[in-house]
Amino acid sequence: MINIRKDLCDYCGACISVCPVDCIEVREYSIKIDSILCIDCDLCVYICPVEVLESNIEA
Amino acid sequence: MKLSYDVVVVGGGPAGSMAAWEAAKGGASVCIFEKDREIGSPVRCGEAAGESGLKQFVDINDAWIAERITGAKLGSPSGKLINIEFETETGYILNRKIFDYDLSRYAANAGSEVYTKAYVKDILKNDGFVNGVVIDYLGKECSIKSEIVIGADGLSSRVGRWGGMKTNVKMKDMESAIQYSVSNIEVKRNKMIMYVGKKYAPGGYLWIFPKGK
Repeated sequence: MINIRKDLCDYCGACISVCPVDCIEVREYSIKIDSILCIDCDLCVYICPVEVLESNIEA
Repeated sequence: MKLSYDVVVVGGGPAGSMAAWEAAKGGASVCIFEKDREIGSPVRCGEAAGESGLKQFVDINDAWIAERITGAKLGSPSGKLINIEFETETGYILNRKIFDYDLSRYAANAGSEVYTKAYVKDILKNDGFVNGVVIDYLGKECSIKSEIVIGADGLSSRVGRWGGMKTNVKMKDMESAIQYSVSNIEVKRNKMIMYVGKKYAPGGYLWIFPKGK
């Protein structure tokens, strides 16, 4: 499960590029991560240039 | 908006617009779907391009040019600075807002339709062949059929994946960056600056591009 700090997101889509399971959708001003498809690899967390994404395995 | 086209192009950046332009010139019915509200904006790009590369595809419009680049200053990890004057190439720092918009206008003038605020959320398949897209447009979902779907949706392309190709990028091939537009600082016009090395750009590189007065 990934937490998203939406106020910081610039919707650049870098996270989409690295996601191995295509569970991220970024539109003009929105970002959604499908928590069921997400495998918690955290690649999106690492690649985000503005540190918008946070790993949250407990949830 | 038609319910079917010969060619649907996903993404209204330069690649999508050029593809649509060529297809429309060739007589195909074409439609570009761009998810953002504008073509060309926001700019997530250093906007640097070489003249010889651009000239292969388009006549260069001065309105696209923010600055001509005739040389570079490169900073090495040791701190040495190297000045290079370009001999056979001219670089440009583009105004991509205008560049991207003009390319989509060429496509439109050739007969392509262009919709912004149109999010392609899936492709359609039949019998193992891609035959259209599903879009979210003005809050409504619709299916648009097409003979060909061109995925010009950028680095983070999903169209390729939906079509069964492995288009996600390995971490070792990704470098994320942030850029700022800054005014009122002293930089030499016509020269680009690049630094590598851990003093200024650990693990990557730093660039400074002049963008005109």
